[in-house]
Amino acid sequence: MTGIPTPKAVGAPRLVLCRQCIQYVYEGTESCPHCGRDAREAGERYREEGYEVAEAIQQIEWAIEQRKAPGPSD
Amino acid sequence: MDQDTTRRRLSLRDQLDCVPVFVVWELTLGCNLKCLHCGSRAGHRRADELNTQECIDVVRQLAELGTREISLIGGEAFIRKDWLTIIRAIRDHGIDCMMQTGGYKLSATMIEAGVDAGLQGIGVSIDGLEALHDRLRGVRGSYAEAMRVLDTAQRLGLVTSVNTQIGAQIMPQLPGLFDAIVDAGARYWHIALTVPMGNAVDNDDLLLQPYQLGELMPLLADLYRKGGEQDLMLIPSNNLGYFGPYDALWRGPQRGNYPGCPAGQNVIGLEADGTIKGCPSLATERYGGGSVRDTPVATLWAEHPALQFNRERGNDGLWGYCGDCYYAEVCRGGCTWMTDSLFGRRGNNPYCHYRVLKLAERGVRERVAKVEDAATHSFATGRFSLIEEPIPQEVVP
Repeated sequence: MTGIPTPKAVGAPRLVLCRQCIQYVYEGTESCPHCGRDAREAGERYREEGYEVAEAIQQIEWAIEQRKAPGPSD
Repeated sequence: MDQDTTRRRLSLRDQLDCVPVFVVWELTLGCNLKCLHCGSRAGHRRADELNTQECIDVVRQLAELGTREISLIGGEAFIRKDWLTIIRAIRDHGIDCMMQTGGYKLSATMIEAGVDAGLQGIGVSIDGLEALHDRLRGVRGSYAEAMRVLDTAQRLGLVTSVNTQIGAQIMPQLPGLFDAIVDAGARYWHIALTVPMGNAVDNDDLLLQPYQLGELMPLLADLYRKGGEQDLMLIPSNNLGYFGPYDALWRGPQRGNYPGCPAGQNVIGLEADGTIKGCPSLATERYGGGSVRDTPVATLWAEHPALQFNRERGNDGLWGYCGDCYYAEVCRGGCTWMTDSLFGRRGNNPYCHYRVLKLAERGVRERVAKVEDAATHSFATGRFSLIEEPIPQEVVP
């Protein structure tokens, strides 16, 4: 160990894909600013091009990472 | 060493703890090519480059900080007589080691020695088909040499990649270059935009104009899909983006969305004389964070103001279009190197596909024009103005 305090940074806000137009939106977005449709409702392209599966895996990885990451008081 | 593994992926902890996962290290500024777009104006060695023992000690310190990958660059890293010793030290500390090279005069024997020392991968710079590449690299025969190095490295079991800087002349050649790279058997194609720094300021006709991303990005999307069928993965660099309709292709759920410029947060750049920066390509006068020759790496990394600029994620430094962008909080103007090189100030990046498309909806486009030359020293920047103009009638964005 170096004995020097670990520098800290602020994490990036989380983005998810609009399930209609496959462009990034902020998590929790209802109406997509890009296509105007419901960003949460899975469209055909979202399912068929494998984004649904990939995003599910990402959600799991994200949850695991959050458990590992230090909290604000650490 | 697969370039798409979890070891390369930045975890949340990496981001929050500012782990310098990636180090890009200019071992020497000495170079045997004369590239028209070289940002560091490489050619001659720096006056006071770190010696072998100093380099080995830097490797030890980086290992303690959690570095997982060191990419050796130059100039040409192999011009140093001790390049194999340094590779061995890197591998002995459990750090992955790659070398980025123009490949000129890098013989099969030397590559084999690199492999014996622990080198895991080679990235070869190829900036167009033969005639264009040789002209840009300033040495006839450099394309053939680059291809030979790719072939040799492949046969010796190294992970091979190609690095291409995309400028105005290269863009039309990308499909042909794609075929050449597939034929050469490379597994990864790192693509970046040419940045107006150093020699590229002198030769500003090489630069792509921001509005040309409207043409470039669909072309890259096609090549990305084609690459998926032919075992060549396109990897966009930090200066290629951001958040347009194709971003989910190359920065989709599997790899994570663009999190903003990682300079100074998860990347360290080292100059051959020991100057530390948050990214190897940034202008030394504004982003040099002291010397690892005088001060421990951990101290500089934790405390030097020149390395801190990306850590707080504030939007205060954003200006122009980026200041009001939907993605401002995440993207923060994208590549610091690009914006600082253009304007002497980070936070407003016209080289953005999302921005190009949004401006096109209003019937306008942006181009840059040089207003000030760059000085002659390494990593010197000039100054460019940003011009917004109506899209000519005959152009479809």
